[in-house]
Amino acid sequence: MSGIPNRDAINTLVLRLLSNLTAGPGAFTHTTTDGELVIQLPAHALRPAVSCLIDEIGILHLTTITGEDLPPHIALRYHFWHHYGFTLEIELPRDRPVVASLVDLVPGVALYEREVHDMLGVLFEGHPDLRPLLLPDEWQGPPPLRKEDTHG
Amino acid sequence: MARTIVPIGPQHPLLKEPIAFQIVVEGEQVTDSTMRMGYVHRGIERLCQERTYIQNLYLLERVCGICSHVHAVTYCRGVESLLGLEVPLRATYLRALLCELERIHSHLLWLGMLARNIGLDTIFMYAWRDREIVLDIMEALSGGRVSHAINTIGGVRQDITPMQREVIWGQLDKLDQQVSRLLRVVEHERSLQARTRGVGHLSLEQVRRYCVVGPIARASGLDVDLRRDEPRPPYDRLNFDVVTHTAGDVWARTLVRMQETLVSVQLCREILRTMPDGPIAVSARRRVPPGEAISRSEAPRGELFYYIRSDGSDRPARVKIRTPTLPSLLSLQIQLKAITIADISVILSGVDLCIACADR
Repeated sequence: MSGIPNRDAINTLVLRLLSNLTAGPGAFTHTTTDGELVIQLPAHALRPAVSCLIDEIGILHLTTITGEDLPPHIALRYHFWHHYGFTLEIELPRDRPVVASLVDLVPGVALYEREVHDMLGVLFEGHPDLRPLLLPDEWQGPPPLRKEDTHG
Repeated sequence: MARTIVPIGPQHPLLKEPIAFQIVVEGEQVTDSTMRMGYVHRGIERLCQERTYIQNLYLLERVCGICSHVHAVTYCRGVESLLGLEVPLRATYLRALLCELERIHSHLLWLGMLARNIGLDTIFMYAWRDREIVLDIMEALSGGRVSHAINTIGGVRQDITPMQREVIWGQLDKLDQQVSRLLRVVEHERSLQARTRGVGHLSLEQVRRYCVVGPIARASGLDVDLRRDEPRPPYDRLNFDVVTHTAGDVWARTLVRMQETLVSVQLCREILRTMPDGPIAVSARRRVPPGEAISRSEAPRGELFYYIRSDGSDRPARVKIRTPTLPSLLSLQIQLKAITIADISVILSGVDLCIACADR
């Protein structure tokens, strides 16, 4: 692969594309300690943001989704990779964690959404199959990565 | 013709780890499939939150029974980035040496499994015999054949002695010879080609849309290898080729993995030749400052991903692991369609599943 853009170029591109969709101008981005860009978006802006990236970049590589219970929110971090990694982060209300599925835009997301559904009880609207992925069929009780389920 | 559902697994003769497939067949033709995993789910991500950073190192090395070392390396790199630690260069070379040895080990193990599952027991025995050489090297380096426990946050725990280096150098020559011979055998083995050519085909577009990684993606022509594309020391100082093929079938995956094995042998030599002197570790604080780190590595099966968030205590607030087997499992939905029952074993072997990795 020749002419690989540098990290700043990718970060600038992503920020420019998403500039209309972020929760506020400039203030809602940060970088991880190893330099990957994290952009916070309102939950409803996630699908438009991903469509927008696909229009510009082409097929998107999604590495995975990290879900984390941070009362009163559930944070979802969508980790992408396009020459360099970048992350889109959204927050959902804990009592009604519903977000639109990305399966039709990024087919590779299917198992990760199922896993977040298992572990945190997030409902992905439009996902064709949200049966348990890792938990046993007879699992009772709250999703295991929710904070109220702490055993320690 | 009547639809029949054939359950395969969770315990089955094909793979050594438990996973269940429900294959829908009409006569000999497979029309659809569903997959059920989680039989070896151990809740490792949850366990990580209850252990200290250094305890997690030993837990995370047990996510996988084949690529254990790369898990530890990727995790350490994330924590070191949170701590702002500069790892000594010699330590990164020692880590990379084991990473490459592990890749050789993993690919030879895989070749053996593929050969065995399609009835070529001679290739299976050759591959696993030659795998012993690399296991011996790893044992000499770390004391363990599979779990090495050689990493620590801030570097590695054991250095390599000049005498070990000499011995390993000789063993690498032997390995090079044997793997080259094995590759020649594989390339000319007509029954292997008859079973694998055109089977389990994935196009470049399918691979990209389903976010498939590693040798499977490279066998479909996707030129991505994080060792080159997101180089961490020492890979930014090493010269190596990224092997790609375009056929996208199990045969192409075989060639990619076999040729990658030879590249890894070369890399091991280069690492041994150019390894700088110096310390092998720096000390690390127990408490990690708040922050987020993302760490990616090219594991034998492709992109391995760790997300680590610290809240300032001595335990991580969240550790997320994404192993390369998950997208490979997703790609089976495409592969297990419009094939005959006899091809199921070839396809399942061809993707190189690591279920313990995927279930965590």
